[in-house]
Amino acid sequence: MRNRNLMKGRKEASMRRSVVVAAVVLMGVVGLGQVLDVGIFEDLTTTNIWARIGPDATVWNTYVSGGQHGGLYVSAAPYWTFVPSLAADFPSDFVENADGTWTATVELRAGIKWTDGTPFTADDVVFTYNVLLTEIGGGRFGILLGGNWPSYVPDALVAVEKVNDLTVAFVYSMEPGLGEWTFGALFSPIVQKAYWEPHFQAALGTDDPTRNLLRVTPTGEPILGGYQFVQWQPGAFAQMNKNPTYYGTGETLTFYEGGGFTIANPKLGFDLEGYGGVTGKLDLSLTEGPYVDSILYSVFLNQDAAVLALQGGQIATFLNPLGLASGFQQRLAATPNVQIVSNPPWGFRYMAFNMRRAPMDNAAFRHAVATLIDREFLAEGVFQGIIVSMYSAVPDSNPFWHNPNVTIYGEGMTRAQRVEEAVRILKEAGFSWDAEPKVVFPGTGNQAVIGVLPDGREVAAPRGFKLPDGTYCPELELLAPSAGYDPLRATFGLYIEQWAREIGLPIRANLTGFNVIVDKVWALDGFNYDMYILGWSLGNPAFPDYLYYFWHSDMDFIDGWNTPGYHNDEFDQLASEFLAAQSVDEARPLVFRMQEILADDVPYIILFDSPIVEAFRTDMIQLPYTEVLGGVQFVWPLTTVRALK
Amino acid sequence: MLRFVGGRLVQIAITFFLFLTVVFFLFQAMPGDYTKQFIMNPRIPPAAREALKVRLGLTDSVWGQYVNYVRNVFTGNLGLSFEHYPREVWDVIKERLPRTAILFLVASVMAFVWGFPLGRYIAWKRGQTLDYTITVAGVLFYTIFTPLLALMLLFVFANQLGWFRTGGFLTPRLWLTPPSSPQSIFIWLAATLAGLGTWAVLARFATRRIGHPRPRRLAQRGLVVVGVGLAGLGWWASGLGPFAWDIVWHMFLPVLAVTLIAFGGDMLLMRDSMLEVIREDYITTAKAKGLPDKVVRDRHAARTALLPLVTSFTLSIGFVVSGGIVTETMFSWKGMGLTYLNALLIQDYPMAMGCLIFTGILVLVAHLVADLLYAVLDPRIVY
Amino acid sequence: MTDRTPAQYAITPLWKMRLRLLARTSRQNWSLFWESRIGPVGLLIIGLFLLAMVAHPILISTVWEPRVYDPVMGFDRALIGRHPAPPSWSHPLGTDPIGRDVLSQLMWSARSAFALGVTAAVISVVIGTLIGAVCAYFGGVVDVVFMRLADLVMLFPFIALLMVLRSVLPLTLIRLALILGALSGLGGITIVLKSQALTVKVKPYIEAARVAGGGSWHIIRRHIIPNIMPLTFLYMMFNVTAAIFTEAVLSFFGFLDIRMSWGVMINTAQQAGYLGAFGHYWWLWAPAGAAITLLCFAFYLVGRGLDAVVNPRLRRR
Repeated sequence: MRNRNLMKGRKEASMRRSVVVAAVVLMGVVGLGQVLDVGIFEDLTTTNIWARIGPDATVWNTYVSGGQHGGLYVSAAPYWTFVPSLAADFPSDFVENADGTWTATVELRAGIKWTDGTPFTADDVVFTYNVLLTEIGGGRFGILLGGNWPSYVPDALVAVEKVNDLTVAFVYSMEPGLGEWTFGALFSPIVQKAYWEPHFQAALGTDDPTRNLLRVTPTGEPILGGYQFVQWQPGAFAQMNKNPTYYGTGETLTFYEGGGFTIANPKLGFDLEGYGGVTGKLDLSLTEGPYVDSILYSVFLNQDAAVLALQGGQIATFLNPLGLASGFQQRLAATPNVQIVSNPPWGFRYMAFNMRRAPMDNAAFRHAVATLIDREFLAEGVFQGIIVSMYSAVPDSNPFWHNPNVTIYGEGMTRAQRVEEAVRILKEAGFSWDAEPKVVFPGTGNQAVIGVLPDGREVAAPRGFKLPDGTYCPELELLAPSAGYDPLRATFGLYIEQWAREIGLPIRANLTGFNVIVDKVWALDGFNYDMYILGWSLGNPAFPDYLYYFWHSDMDFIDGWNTPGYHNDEFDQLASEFLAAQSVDEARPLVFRMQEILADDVPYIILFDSPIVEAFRTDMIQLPYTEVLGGVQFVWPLTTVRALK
Repeated sequence: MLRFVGGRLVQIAITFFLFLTVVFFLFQAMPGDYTKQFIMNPRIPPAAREALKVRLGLTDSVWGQYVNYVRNVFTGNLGLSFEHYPREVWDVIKERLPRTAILFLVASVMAFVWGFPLGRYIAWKRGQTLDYTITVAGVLFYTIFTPLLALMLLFVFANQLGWFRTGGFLTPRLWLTPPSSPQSIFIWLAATLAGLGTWAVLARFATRRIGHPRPRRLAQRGLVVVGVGLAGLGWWASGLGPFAWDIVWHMFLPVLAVTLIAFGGDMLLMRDSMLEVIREDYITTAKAKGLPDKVVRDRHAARTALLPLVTSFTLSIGFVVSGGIVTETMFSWKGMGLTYLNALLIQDYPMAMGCLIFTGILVLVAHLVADLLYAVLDPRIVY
Repeated sequence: MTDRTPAQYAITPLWKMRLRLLARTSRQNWSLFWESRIGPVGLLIIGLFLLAMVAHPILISTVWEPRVYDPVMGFDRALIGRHPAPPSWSHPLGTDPIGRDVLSQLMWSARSAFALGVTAAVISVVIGTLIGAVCAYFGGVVDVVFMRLADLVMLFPFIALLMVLRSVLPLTLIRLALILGALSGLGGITIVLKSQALTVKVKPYIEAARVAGGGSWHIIRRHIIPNIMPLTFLYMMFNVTAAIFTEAVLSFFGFLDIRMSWGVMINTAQQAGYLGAFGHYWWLWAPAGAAITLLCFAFYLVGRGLDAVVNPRLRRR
């Protein structure tokens, strides 16, 4: 109702401007219904779905418009459970056809309507995929759109066909694995055929179809999701209203402790059980709204102003993929009506070795550097708990995939022991010094590392570090972001430099801009670095396919993701099997073994990450849950959130 | 006169061409490309990134790109923004410019309104304690660390006193059903200000024949008040008044910050300029004629002393982008400065180049205007 | 001096004459500078900063344990869990969010501020003076080329330009000083100094020197440059202010590759989220903010004090 009033107001505005304004101002004060004010730190760049998933795939666009378009399946927060959304059930198994292709079908829910009142059918699904599959000069449309679109049209997907109004068939050239099917094609957003077909055909008729589709500014686009785009005032704010015809309104998703779930949707008369249904005690039950009539996303361009706004009750929360820094936490914790929520991150910050160069190609060297790095000292001492140490390629915040039993270098050792252990590892591998490191006065305030010459004379510091072949080690550059970009990584860089220099390893930290590091690591003529420190955020926690992309030897090409130049046949084999796995239970042991291999070979040293800390005004916003991997921002926008003002 | 303007135009064209070339090759020397933006998504196949490069025109040869670029700029085409792809750079600038321009103009006028009379005054009071006190205060504001000043204003006036909102240029809840875009309101506001300015000048001009200073001043002020009243009435009648007021209300703090910083500079410049003019022969003559001090100060000296201020103002136009970076960031005022900063951070080269080139054009035009203004202000200068 | 006979002057060697003249003008200038009242205040503040700069290495090698008080790598283990700690006896200005002593950082950064400001200013005035003098003296093509170059340089907003340059090459302190110096030297200063040199060029003694057979370079070196030198000094002071301010702003936005400076200190406080809370954690931003403002302020005051000396028309009536 509220929503329709607003729409009416818009129409009248153009006719009788001056009269309506007075009403508008009043409405601004009283008749809004539930409004949620949320801060964001970058403006939108588009409202066009093709651009938002494609070249404009920014986290800010996703926060605002992410709830607009439904998908066949979703990874349901907070557990990232794979559940049908527009689909009526899990997809069928694949069947091999006579021509060697493989087909699976997806049933759609009946009774779902677009916001313009027309029914949602298989035609819309088929249209969406066919746009992506359309071959134009240069390749598939979906590939050329870029962004996340290519992952929805894997090479092996050859056709998507309508079986009947509520059934769609997916045809693959071979039997697909999880990465191409469950966590690939099935996650695509679905658009309305009636709205987009004319735009798509018009774009196809031009000499630059992708550009001409991307530049469409959709107005009144019918959607299926919980929130509908209303307006965007560039540089100021964006407004999303609830979709009054949302098919999920009133739908209850219940999770049970045994891992099962049930869906009950009285509106569609639809029920479903998955993974065993009612298994054990009820864990969490979520009934969808949306309960909020409007969400207003205001753009703040510095965090200090946003924190002041939150303290003053101007916004209920702000969304930030990095979470709150420690100072903001302390300040907001002291503010009445503000709740601070901390969640484990889904990502890691790491140090990579260029294994194409000496001595980084030597496992002993990498082990020695890993031994020297005292994460706990930095995490608990210098950073006083604002970061968590990490050791495995899959963060421990994701217990299903995380392998807790990987090699940890220098575990529990004192500084002196670390130094001795690193020296032992290096000497064993044939490295040597002109003046060998030796710890004096260990455990006292005067502890120091001095150099010992072959004749037994002691000098102030170790020197003349030599490779196994007897040549002196050249100076090695460790690229790390400067304090202006990330003080945490900058400090790690400085300490690693100090620890390495202490035993005579000629490592120099170069604290510089993010872009400078990226340009050196992914240089046009190959990987041009010795070591660097950067970070990753990791995508869908339900399926860590990054393990393949970061370390499989096929990804070692110019501009590729395998930056260390890591090659290990056993790992390659496991990574390929993992992508092709048909179930997560089949994939899990593979992932565990891959983590062990990575920890032994150390192409990356996984260093740390900081928990995602967020603040909410308890008098303005009510959340259905606060414990979720990557923080509430990671699952925003929620249709289960309520506004209190 | 015409010959002078013509000569200047040729010079401007040459300088602009050189400027364009420097900007282009500067950005050419920058490493990397836009596809790195997608570095956080390892699932994008290389083919997609290649396609992106082709689509964004990064695969041409350097010379090809250069010739193309120069031709485009001279035909008014600044290219496509990477970040806002496929929006045109010019389109983004058009959106951001009014916000920055209005902030900058209002602050400049305010700084002038405070700085000009104060500078004139302390020049006359030279060497007295008041002169030192005001000078020191002016220098302090001139050298204060801008981001901290901005944050303090936010903390005091927005957070503690609650008089203003902590950033942005409008109140979202008021704009749920906007009768007009903030864009056009910005433009109308700028037009109103320009109109009022012209009105004030005209009022001065129309009343200058009134012999006695008191009724003259009264008439001038009366006319200005009438002008302001008419403008207010106009806004009220249009029904856009509350929206315009919302924007004006949001402008207070950023304008205050820029004014505080800029007025010191204006004041000190005016003081020095006045001191130089006071030594000129014609001032001595005027004094010798027995004209009152105030008349000599305001009508004879100050007019000529204005020249350096005009220069300073035109030069400062070049710093709209630079200076805007700090103010706009602190007050969440998405204008040209922030657009430039952001474009650099995410390597949206066409956007950043567009901002620089646009500033360049503004400065060049401003230099020309300043030269012409000289002739108006100082009767001794003839072209 | 007036009671000397011309004969006495004749036997005084030239260098002695010059020295005496220099001493006399210096005395005069100093008293003019002193009368300006604000000049000496600026000088005093600069002196205090110099003192802090000199004291830092002494403190580090005597009472300040480097492991705790190093401005970049220091860390006070005794206060783990309490950083940023408020001022105390061991840390008179408290510690920063990662346990480093703020006073030590403040004093250490004075060195880089001076190094940057003075280097940039010297480079800019050297370039500006040379080019200004040469352009004024020779005129013609040289003049046109450098003046158009100056126009071109002035089209670039410095901070915006430096942000671009940062992507091309890492901006260390030295590079920043060189670039800032070169930019302002080739830009506005050249124009000002050239117009000053033009007024010198038409003076009769220049003509006399030329008639006496002085070469162009001789005249530029011995007559023009010394006569525009005072103005040069003035602009040097203003440029120090500009350079320090630019560094602080760039550091604040994280655009510099410098490990420690006043701008970096404020940036650290901001990154860690301590900047906007004005009543609390003042020691994280106030000392550095005050240092930037005060030093800029001081150099500017000295510049204005010099103005009274350099600009004869400004002298007291």
